[in-house]
Parts: sequence; structure tokens; C-alpha cells
Amino acid sequence: MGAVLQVRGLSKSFGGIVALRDVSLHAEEKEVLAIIGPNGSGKTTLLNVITGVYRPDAGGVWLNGEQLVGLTPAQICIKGVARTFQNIRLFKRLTVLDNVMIGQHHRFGAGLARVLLASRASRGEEAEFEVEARALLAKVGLAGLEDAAAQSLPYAKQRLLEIARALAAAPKALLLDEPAAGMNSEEIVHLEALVRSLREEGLTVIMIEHVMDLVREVADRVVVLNYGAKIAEGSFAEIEADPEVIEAYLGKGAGSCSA
Amino acid sequence: MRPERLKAIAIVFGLLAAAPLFLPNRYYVYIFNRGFANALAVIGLVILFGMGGQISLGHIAFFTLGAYTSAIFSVRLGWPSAAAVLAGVALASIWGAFLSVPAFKLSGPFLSICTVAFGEVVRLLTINLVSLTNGPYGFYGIPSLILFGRRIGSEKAWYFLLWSLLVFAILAAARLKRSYIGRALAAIREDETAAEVMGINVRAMKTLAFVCAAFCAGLAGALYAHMSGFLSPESFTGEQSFSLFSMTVVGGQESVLGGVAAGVALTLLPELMRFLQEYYIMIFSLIVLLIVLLPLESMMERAKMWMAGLAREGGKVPWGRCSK
Repeated sequence: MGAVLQVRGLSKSFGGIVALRDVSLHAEEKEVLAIIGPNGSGKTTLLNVITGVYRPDAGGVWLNGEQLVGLTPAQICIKGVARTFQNIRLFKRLTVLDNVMIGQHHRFGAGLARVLLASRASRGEEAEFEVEARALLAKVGLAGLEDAAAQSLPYAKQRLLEIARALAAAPKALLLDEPAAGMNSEEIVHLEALVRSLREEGLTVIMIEHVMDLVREVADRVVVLNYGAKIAEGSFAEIEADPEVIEAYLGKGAGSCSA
Repeated sequence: MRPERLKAIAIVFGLLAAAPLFLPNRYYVYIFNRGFANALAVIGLVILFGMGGQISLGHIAFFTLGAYTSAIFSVRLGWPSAAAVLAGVALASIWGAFLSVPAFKLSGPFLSICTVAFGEVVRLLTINLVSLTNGPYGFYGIPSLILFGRRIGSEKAWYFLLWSLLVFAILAAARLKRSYIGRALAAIREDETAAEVMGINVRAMKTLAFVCAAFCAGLAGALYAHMSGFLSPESFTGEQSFSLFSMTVVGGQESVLGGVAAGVALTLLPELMRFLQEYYIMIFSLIVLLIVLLPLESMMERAKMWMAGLAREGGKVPWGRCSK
């Protein structure tokens, strides 16, 4: 099976700080790839480079063989890469439903004239997308909250809304930046089920996560970053036993103790 | 929208449509016409600033461009007045597109300074391009508008024309607001980076918002030229830009109907306050300040709760915090 998202030789520095050093990875169809690593290891920078927020110094990103480097974030989203943010970036004052329908933006086809004349095509399209947006909200578990302001939702629900908004863009690859941060164990179980069902639907999910329970449960493969470089890759069991990973997390000499 | 609210709006518009039949003299009709022209320009600002969050503090410039272009085309080039109006609207819109370019990089106070500068440039051009605009003496002898072979000459004719255009503009702006384009503008206002990452072409949307705003102001200006028959640089100063902006804010920024109501009301108000003579600016500013500063929305909500409480509990007042 070919890789849906491929990252090769990616490097990015900010002044003297090397955030990413020659990182390569790939994610296949119907796969959940987890990216883990200590704070400051370059995980979020990697997501920002993939989605075009930053331009890499070297290397490339391909979606189904198509180069994404050089495109704007909007163009990359339209090609099929959608994301959530670590520090939740919802459109706070807008309603939950509007947030999701903004995710659908690029899929609308009626031009300005049709919108202004409220043509049948434009109204039909609007109604159709609204039905879809409500279904997406029900799917992530936010049914009944459509008309609430996004900022009025509790933290965990805001994270789910970000996922719904990203899904609304109809992506091929979904990038989640610490989706479980700030969630309690019950909410994490709900998130697990959601990520699994997305995989079943054929989506490629790349997930940055610190909550190891979630990674163990849903990740097919794990990539470990440290100081901007990839230090390990494999199944969760393989990663768990890798001395270099243990060292990165716990320090030198910890490997022998932890056994 | 709830049916009772829709009914109330329909009644207000119906009354407005019939107003010229009751107004005591032509002067009042003329003031209403000025109010409608301002309201048209304010609709543009509601789209640009209220929906899209882009500040324009030089907005009268688009009005001026529409007015002078239409005047120049009809008087100096002898174009039919309707075609001249279209030329004015087109030129204003093109400049709207140009002014959106600095907005790609600038926002907040930096963008507002840029738009103030644009407003000043246009004002100075109207004073100094004497061969075209007749400079500080003012541009006179602008023919009245001829639409489909009918001359729009009387105040009443203008009233009905502007009123119907206004209704069309309100409907169009309301549709824009509730469409995917309106949502994209709101997204840009709330968080530009997130909007971009969600697949919104931020630059294209900003240009669209500026063009819409310039179109509305340009149309208002071009019509104004033929309505008043005379243009003077003195009537298009920075003060006018600020007054258009305050109309938008007083109307509630995002609300199309609010902006229109504020546009008409703040044009009528100074006329109604003439008896105050030199104190009127002071009182007028005070009223605007109060409208902006008082939390009208939560006051209305509280009043509603109070009424509901009266009805339910027979006199008890629930003074709880009300959140929206």
C-alpha cells in the first residue's frame, strides 16, 4: 500500500535553533501514526511545516505523490490535509455549527452572484452542507450544541469541535496536535473510539500525543522525535523497549533501572 | 428569523416607503435621501469591518471617487448619467481592490492609518486636480439622473429610488452574511491563521470585502452627485469618514439592519437638533458615546428578563447576571 502522506529529509531551523533535523516519515491509508517525544522535540513544528504554516529549509512533503511544500496553508487544506491545534484555535465567538461549516468552506461552489441572488443552487448547497455539518457534530459527540458559542464549550468539547471542523474539510490526512490534552479518562476513551472509527472510514490520522494510554490503544505505528530528529519508529511495544527512547524521556542510565 | 420580528421589520419598511407622503416639506425628504445614501455606504462598512474585521477610516474616499467620477464622466465627457454612475461605481470598486493589498500584511491600527492616508490622498486630489474637479470652487451643473428614459429630478423620486436600492442592498448583505462567504469573513476576523489553515483564501476574501465596501460607498457617492447636482471637497473630509465609521459601530458592527438604522438616524439627528445651535455637536457626540458605551444588548436582555419575571412571579425581579 502506498503512503498517503510522505515526509522526506525535512529540516527547519529558527535562527540558531534546529527544530527539525532531516526528519523522514510516512503514513499509510487507514493508519494511525502517533508522533511522540519530549517537549521541544519539534513535533508541532513538524505539523506546521506539513500544513504550510512554516516553509522547511530542506526536504519535502508529499500527499499521494503530490508535493505540498511551496503551497499556502489554504491550498494544502484544499488538497486534503486538515489539522487541529495544540492551543485550541476555534472561532470563539461563532456558533459551534458555524465553526464546522467554516471547515467546509472550500467545498462550496456557488459564486458571489448566486449567493447574493440566493439562487436555488446556492440555497440547496447551503442546506446540504448544514445537514452534513450536523451529522459530523453528532459523530464527534456534540449533538445538541449546534447553536452554542464555541467559547462556551468545556475544554474537552472544544477539542472535539476542532476535530469536527477539520473533518468538515473532507481531508485525506487528519493531523491531530495533542487531542487528549486536558481530557479526563472518560473523555479519552470517547476520543479513542472516535479515532478508531475515523481509521475504519479510511482516513489517515497523524497524531501528536503525550497521553501514552491513548497512543497504546489506537496507534498502529509510533515515531519518536528528540531534539528535532527521529530517534525511533515502530509499534508501541517496540518503542517502549527502545533504550534510546527511554533515555530521551528519563535520562541516561534509566534504561537499566526501568527493566 | 422569527416571524414576529420579520413582521416588525416589514412594517418599518412599509412606513418608510410611505414617508414622503406625510413629511411636511421637501427639505425633510432631502435629508432622508442623504440618510439613505449614508446607510448604503454603511452597509459596505458592515461587510468590511463588522463581518470581516478590516478597518477603513478613510471610507468617504470611495464615496468621493464614485461622486466625482460620475460627475466628470457626465459633464466633461457627456456620458449618459446612468452610464456615468456605473463608471463611478466601477472606479471606486477597483480602488477598493487596490486598498485591500496593504490589508494582506497590515491589520488593526496600522491598517487604519493606511486607510486614513488613502482618504486624505483622494481629498487632496479633488482639491488640486482643478482641471477635472474645479478644485475648491466645487463641481456644479451635474445633470440629474435619467433611468430607463425617466428623469429622477424631484426629492420624492430620489427617495423612492434610494429606498428601493437600500432594500436590495440590505437583502444582498444579509444573504452574504449567512453564506459561506460571510462565515469565511467572520473566520478571518476571529483568527486569520486558523482561517487560512481551514482552506480559506484569506487574501481573496479580504479583496472581496474591500470591493463590496467600495462598491456600496461608490454607488452612494455616484447617486449623491446627481441628486445634489453640486460637489465640494469640503463635504468629503476625514470627519465624514469617521461619521460613517461611527454609524457602523452604533448600529452594532455586524448587523446590517442596525447599520442602516444608525446611518439614517445619525443623518437625521443633527437636523432635528438644529435648535441647539452651537451646542448640537456636543450633545450629538454625547448621544453617540452613550450608545457605544452603554451595554445596550445586555440592558435589553435584562429588561426582557425583568418583564418575564413580572409576568411569572407577580412583581419579583430576577436581578441575576444574564449571559448570552
